[in-house]
Amino acid sequence: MTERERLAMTIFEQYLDLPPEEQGEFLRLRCGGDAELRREIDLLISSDREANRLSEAVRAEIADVAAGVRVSQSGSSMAMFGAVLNGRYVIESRIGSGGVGVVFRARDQRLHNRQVVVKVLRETKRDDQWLLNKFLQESEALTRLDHPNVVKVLDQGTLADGRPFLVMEFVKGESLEEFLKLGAVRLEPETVVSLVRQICGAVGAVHAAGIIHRDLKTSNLMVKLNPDGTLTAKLIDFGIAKIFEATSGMQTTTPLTVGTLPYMAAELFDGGEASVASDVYALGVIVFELLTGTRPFLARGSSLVAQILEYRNLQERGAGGKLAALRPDLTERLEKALLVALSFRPEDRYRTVREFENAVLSAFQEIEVEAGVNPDDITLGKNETLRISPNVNVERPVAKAGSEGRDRVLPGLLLVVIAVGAILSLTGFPPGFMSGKKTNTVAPPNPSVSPQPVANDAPPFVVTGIPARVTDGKEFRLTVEFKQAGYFYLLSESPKLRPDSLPDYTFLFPGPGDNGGAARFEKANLVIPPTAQPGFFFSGTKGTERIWCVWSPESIPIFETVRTAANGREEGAIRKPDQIQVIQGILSGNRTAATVVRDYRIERP
Amino acid sequence: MEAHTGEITNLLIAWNQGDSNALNRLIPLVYDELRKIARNMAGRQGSNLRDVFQPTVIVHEAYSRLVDESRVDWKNRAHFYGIAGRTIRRIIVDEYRKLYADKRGGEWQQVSFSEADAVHMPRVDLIELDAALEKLEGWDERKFRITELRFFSGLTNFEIGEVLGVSEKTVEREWRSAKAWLHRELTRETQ
Repeated sequence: MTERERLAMTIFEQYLDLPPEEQGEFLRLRCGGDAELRREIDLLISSDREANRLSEAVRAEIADVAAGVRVSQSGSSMAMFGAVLNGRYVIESRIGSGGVGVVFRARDQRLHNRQVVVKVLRETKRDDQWLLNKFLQESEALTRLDHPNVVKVLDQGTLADGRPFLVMEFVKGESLEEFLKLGAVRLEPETVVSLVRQICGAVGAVHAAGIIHRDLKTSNLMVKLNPDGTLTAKLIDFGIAKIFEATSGMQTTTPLTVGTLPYMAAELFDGGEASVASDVYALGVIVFELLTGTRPFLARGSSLVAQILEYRNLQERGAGGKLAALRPDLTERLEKALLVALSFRPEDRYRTVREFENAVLSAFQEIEVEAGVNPDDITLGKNETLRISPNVNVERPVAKAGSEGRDRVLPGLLLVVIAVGAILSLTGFPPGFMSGKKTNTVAPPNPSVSPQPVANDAPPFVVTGIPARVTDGKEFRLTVEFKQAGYFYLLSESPKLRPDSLPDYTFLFPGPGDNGGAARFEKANLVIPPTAQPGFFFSGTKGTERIWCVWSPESIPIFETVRTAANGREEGAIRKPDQIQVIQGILSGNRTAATVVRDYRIERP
Repeated sequence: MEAHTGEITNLLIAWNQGDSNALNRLIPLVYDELRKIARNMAGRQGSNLRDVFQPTVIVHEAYSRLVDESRVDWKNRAHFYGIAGRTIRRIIVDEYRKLYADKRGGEWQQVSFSEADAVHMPRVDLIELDAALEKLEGWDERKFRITELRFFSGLTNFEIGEVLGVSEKTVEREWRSAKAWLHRELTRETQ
């Protein structure tokens, strides 16, 4: 360990102990002009954010080694490397092991060496011909299934030792489980709606093909950011292996894990068969997680058996009131839809995934109406009431007898508009909004740089106060005047560490506490950061800082996703290469015509 | 109760009373017993060992089978868990070495921890982790002990505090920075 590493570690530990608003200044003072030291500390800070993934990976690896004890004894797994299956798939590396069996990465020699995933079933009951046929039937059905949100099964086959395997599309991205963990801030309604549509669509298609998934959970769903800023979800893992266990009766070696239990419907604990109803239950849990970031039932038992009993009891008692407690801004109707899906008795749940999806989506439509998104599309029922975030002290409109839904909604809309304004002026920016940032700033429009083309003659916003040149540590603020309501995002693009490296982007606005965490604005003037807070300042790598102001009449899904994932982690800094590329894409023109982008440069001598 | 229960309990008590020699006799005993327990579990659970083999489970199982609870207090318990954590680490790393002995490097590329496109979970090379832990031991003994116990014993921060004689808050603090350092260390070459 070098002296610099030791020093970096000491400073890093002191940094962790400081309140957030002092961290940035502290690092600036401690590092002085030592860029190497600063870089080492920045890496520790970003490692700190990723460290829980490391713990999980270590745990998974330990579990894999334990499984490997068996595998190496039978001598079958290691022999796989370099093997060519079906005359075309070359096994390259072992990715891990899941419920199905061991998972390998391979290349398809017949198709431009594209990457594929090969899943080899664990040794189970492969000498049982009936079960093997059942497996082949289901995997065939999967091979025929063609749905954008279901991972493609490309091929199947049998190893020399008789173990069946599946060849599947290689899906990039991260699991929904990880994705939800990253999001310190709740998902935007549009994101939830889109994910619900895709996930339910996928499961519906699987059911239509006559297959029960049996293992729906957030870790079996992959989420990927598309270049156009939308999200694609993909169902990747099927509980095919469970067919073997479910039907073999005698030996219950069902791979129960702590991660699987929360998604299992009560009847499965009692030895019942997996069904559409048990898949609907799991979907209920997943949608609950999308909305709240947590699960409806949390068992605390220390052993598997204790947890099973606990989950069963919790399900019997029901999840009533839980959504309302976590998300008072959502409607009773939405909670009801979830409660039906989460019913203890399978016959009380929705009979199809489509029914569940419709119930959730129509409840959401209603929320959009309440939020004032689409006043022409009012579908409020007679008994619905308007809900407003509890931290805003506004009276609920009381329905008058005989009044029409539309009449009751309009005052509600007004109230919401007022509430948004109130949140805006009350919350301002949290302390330490800019602190700890490596490189950020803003200054008056640089005359040497022409702004991006604007969609119309009257720009929807005007930014003033961005300096052309600013020395490190000097504070400044900017003022934004909104001429039109819309969504507003403020990003900084740091100088590159090396000419070939990707720039860092940081969402300066909105932060988690700004404007209630939302990007939407009515017409107003806004000082960023508010005068009560410390201003922006720069430290770290010198060079040209770019400030991007982005306005759009619609929210920009990719920005919402990225900023909510980034907020709370080093105040909005974006470091993932795929996310950086998507942001660069939008800033360089891959966006809707109505979106207005202004770009300012600040020199940092 | 197992054959060694009495002996292990005696050694644990003796060690707790300051007999440092007791520890040297205790570790190999615990090592053998933990291996047996792991094997038994493997036999019982068939190919789904992965799902039951968690250090926490093994260590708890070992404790209930190897230690006569009527004769020990919480301090003995904490110490037993401490030893078990160290021992589990050895077992796991040994197994890992054996498992991947012929395939490290060469034509088989380990999927590195920082590689973003791994389908499920990023992989950690446990031998690299072990080496990093040794490096940590040479530099900060306490961080090393905390990390080892967190990964390989399933003790809570509070219990680790009991083993090491520090507050839970200290354990939390040190664990956080040790984790960050480990992550930094394991991703160093790929930066």
